[in-house]
Amino acid sequence: MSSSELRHALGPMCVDSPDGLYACPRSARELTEVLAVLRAHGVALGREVKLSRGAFDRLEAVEPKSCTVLAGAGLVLADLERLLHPHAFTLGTLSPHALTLTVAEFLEGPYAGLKPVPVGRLEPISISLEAVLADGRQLKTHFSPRSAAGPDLSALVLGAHGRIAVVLKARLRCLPLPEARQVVRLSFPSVEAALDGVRAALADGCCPARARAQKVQQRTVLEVELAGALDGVARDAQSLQHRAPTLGGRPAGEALHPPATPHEHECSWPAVARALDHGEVLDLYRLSLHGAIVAGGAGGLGLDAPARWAHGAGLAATVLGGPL
Amino acid sequence: MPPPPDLVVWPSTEEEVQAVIAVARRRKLPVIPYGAGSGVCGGTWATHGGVALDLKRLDRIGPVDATARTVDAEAGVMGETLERRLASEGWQLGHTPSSIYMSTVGGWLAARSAGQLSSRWGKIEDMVLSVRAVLGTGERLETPERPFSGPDVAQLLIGSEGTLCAFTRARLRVFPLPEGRAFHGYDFKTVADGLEAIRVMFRAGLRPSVVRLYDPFDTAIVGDKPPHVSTTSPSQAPALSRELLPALFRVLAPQTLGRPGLMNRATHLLRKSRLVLVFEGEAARAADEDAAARTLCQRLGAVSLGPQPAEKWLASRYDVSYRMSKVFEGGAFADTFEVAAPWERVYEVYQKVREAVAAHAFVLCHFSHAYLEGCSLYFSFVGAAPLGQERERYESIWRIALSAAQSAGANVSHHHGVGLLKARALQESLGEGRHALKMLKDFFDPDGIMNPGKLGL
Amino acid sequence: MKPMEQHAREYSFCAYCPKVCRFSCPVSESTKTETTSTWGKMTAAHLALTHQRPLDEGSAKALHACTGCMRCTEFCKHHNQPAGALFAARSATIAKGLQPAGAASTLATFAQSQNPFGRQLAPLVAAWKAETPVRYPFFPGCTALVKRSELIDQTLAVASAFGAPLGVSRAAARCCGYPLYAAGAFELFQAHARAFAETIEAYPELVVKDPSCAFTLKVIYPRFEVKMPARIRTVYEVLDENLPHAPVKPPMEEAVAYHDACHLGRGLQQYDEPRRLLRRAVSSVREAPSSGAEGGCSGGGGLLPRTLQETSVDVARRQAAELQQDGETIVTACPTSRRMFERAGRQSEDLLAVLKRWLDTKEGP
Repeated sequence: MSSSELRHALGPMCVDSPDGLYACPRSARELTEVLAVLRAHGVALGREVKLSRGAFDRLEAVEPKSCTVLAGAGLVLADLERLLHPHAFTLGTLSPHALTLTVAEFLEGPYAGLKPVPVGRLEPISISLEAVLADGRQLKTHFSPRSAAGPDLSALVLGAHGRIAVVLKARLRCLPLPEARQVVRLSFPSVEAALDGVRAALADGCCPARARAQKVQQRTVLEVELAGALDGVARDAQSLQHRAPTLGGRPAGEALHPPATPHEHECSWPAVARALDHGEVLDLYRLSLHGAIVAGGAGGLGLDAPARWAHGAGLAATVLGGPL
Repeated sequence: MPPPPDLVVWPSTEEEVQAVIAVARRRKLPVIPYGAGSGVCGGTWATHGGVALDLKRLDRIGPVDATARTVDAEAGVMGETLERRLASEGWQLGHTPSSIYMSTVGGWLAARSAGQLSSRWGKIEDMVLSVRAVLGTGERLETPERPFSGPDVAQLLIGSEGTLCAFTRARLRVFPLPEGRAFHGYDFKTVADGLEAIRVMFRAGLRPSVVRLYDPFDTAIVGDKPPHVSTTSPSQAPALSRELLPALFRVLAPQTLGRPGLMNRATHLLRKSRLVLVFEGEAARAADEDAAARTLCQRLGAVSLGPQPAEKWLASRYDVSYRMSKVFEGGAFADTFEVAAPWERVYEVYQKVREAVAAHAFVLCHFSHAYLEGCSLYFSFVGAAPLGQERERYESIWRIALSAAQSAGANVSHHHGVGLLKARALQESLGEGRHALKMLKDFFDPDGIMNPGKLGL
Repeated sequence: MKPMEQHAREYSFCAYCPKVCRFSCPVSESTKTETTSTWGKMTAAHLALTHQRPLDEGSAKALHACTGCMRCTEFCKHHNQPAGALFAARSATIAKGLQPAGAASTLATFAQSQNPFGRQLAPLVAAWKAETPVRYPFFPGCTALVKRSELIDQTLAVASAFGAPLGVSRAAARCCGYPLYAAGAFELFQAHARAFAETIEAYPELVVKDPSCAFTLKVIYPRFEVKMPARIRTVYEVLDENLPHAPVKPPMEEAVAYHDACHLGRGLQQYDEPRRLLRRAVSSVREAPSSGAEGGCSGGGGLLPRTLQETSVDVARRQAAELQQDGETIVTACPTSRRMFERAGRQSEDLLAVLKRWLDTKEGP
């Protein structure tokens, strides 16, 4: 099918740009229509026709009590973060690359929309979402903090690269704007001791905004930035300092320089340890007991390009099929 | 009595699970994965007969990986057995549902369960790094650990209540046993004040392991007395409590529990709402968080009761399950249902459910499993009906309560799951999203043999 | 149904219970079946007593799937005692001719010899004659007499060394009757108990080796309104009491795991006495993840080795695995438990044997 035929079929719902044809639905219904056209013509979304969610670029609602906001999927996270500040909310500390993404890219892409929560866990930043499935049907998940009402259907969206469902809006979990920030700088006799210290503090409930680490001469220096409520930051600092001496840690003086490469990877802790052993300086974001988002020379899951799926490809291809 | 399966099988290995599902697939026999049967929503009822796949022989526990802080446990491991094993080596999972004596790891995964300490340690889906399962297609699947690319298939299987797969093993996060615990109880003037205290506490970054706010009726029942511990068996008890009182209860139950309106109205006179908090983990941090919570609660007008109410809760935290026997023996019925809602909706859900159920049963509620965004509401109701009408009354209470909760903004379940009881409510709440659930079903279980009827599938 | 009637409320409490004690039953933890869970067994009794489902071979078998270890009671807020209640329900299986073969043959053997081994005990008892004055009459129990006579020697030697010499009592020629109780032959048991009580009228006190015998004499007899004329104490109580008089020697450099015998622990609340004795003899005593009042069972009680032989050995195997995290020797005060661990292929030793070895160790330089 030619591009002009497609353009004709999609009508005002598409834009012909120098980069190719973009479907630009302005509502869930329009997206459903776009998908119906593509399905009828046997065209996959993302190939001949790309999807723009630019029309979904509004901060639609702020729920002050539950600390959540309803945001359009086309909003860029850095912009959303600015829109949140007047409400005294923040998305938390996101990695530099993540801040350049739209809500949709952050949820559907390899970041899988995950954010850290105390006690070393990760949870989706989206508490609920509205998406359209390949067959045009809508998927709206319930706005509730947690659920045991069947499987978590938002997993059809998170990290699925838009191949199973396309998100249009998401209700996002925010945090209160931090009252205080503090940097705790410690040095440890080994990389393992430094990372053990981080993991122990995470398990204690410490939830750092970010950290920087490097092996300096014979010791591993760890620079942890804490942000949050005044006494919360003090507690987190205490947790870090409490665990350090038993692992040979002690206060360190000079600040570390930032890493040379800004490329971000999702890394397990052993991968972080290997990179530090090679002398890399690393910036760590989204720290959890699973690992971290690492800017710097570390090996892991590349976060700026799609990678082969570990699982679920069959689900996308076989079950939901269609034009996604 | 629940409908029985046609046969029960006890596989000991994943291969045997696979073999059973393969046979069932060939013969189009329903397969009902079964743990220890503690579910309260009919999730393991063999409504279509078939094979009960009892997974308790998959009961191996691997060594703790102290660096990665993980343990591998098979699906049939009983919860209490796992926690005791971990505790003997200085670790804990932190997953302590009130069913811990009678539930399995596989059951927790299947029903997306929550423990009583979930506010700090998370629900089961937060504790899982990866799962192994045999799908309805008969294939074996091991989900990857982070980092990985693609959707998190584990989260699509957890909570599927046997309708997509039978879990065989999970890699779970473990934590060191808490070095210290800080207990505290408070009385608030109203439920609303207590809820506000919890909300503000989580916004301030505090993460108690236990958060339980009892509504006034429940506060009155919880009381201040130490938990009763029986040292005499029921058959050796004095005749008064062994025969006379139960007989009296059986006679009076339909007259009192069957007409709960007056008593429910009388509870409007009660106001006081009790909050129980436990902080745990690194000792100094737990004490510090407790002190911060105290300042915050007192600022909201709470009266500090010291550690006793929370210590009492810990000592009697599984007691509610035992109370069922006396109620049922007396010819009455009791049940619980739990939902979750964001903070904007919590109080309204509470009020609407109470109003809806008040004419039919005694109803009490506590709020627990708190998050920055909201919390769970756990309703208990006790009722009775004239002989022969008990089931009708019981089912109508369920319908009324669930409908009131949902229309006020609650979800269908926070941690009990869906099973049969809430299947219709789930399907309704999903709207068009139910097709997504159906597509998962068709993909993972194309012949529809896995636990038919549950989740409305 | 008569013995069952007095347990009616226990049956119904369990039948209506959401199986809260599910994980605690060693038998159902082995079989993994719901039928043999405490809930399943007690429900079978409840349904039979309330005429909702007649007893059949299957439910009779389930009623015999209990070791009487009382572990479930520890997790029951009603303090329900399913062990006694299920043994009472076994009486109905006798009346209906549904008793499993192993239980029936135990009764037949008992009827012939007045003990479960089919042996005459009097000649065995006569083999021990005290040469020196004794302080306490000693009741070793028929398992030790028939199967483990070396235990009697060891006990006598340890007791002498602790300054509390024992002499094997003539009363030991009679079994305490536990097998009758466990088989649900309550009338026979009561008659046997009365006769036993008469036999020991002349004794002011008996010191008992076997925890099951001590539990039967001290706890079960009174439940059947049989008053014991003699004070009953376990050998562990007596030795513990005399620990200050025990030889002063360093403990052996050994790591062992201690298994609480159900009847000594939950039955008689003796948890500390055997541990104090053991800690005197060895340098390291390991506790299982569940020990003391909540400790596991070796599968030897309640006639389980006769009615569900494979299951009873598996119960022992599982308990041994709980105890032996690093392959330690299992030490127990119960001769039956020791037999069960041996059947499960695990290394075990009686507490008295350990004490005797310790006494025999030569002092270091």
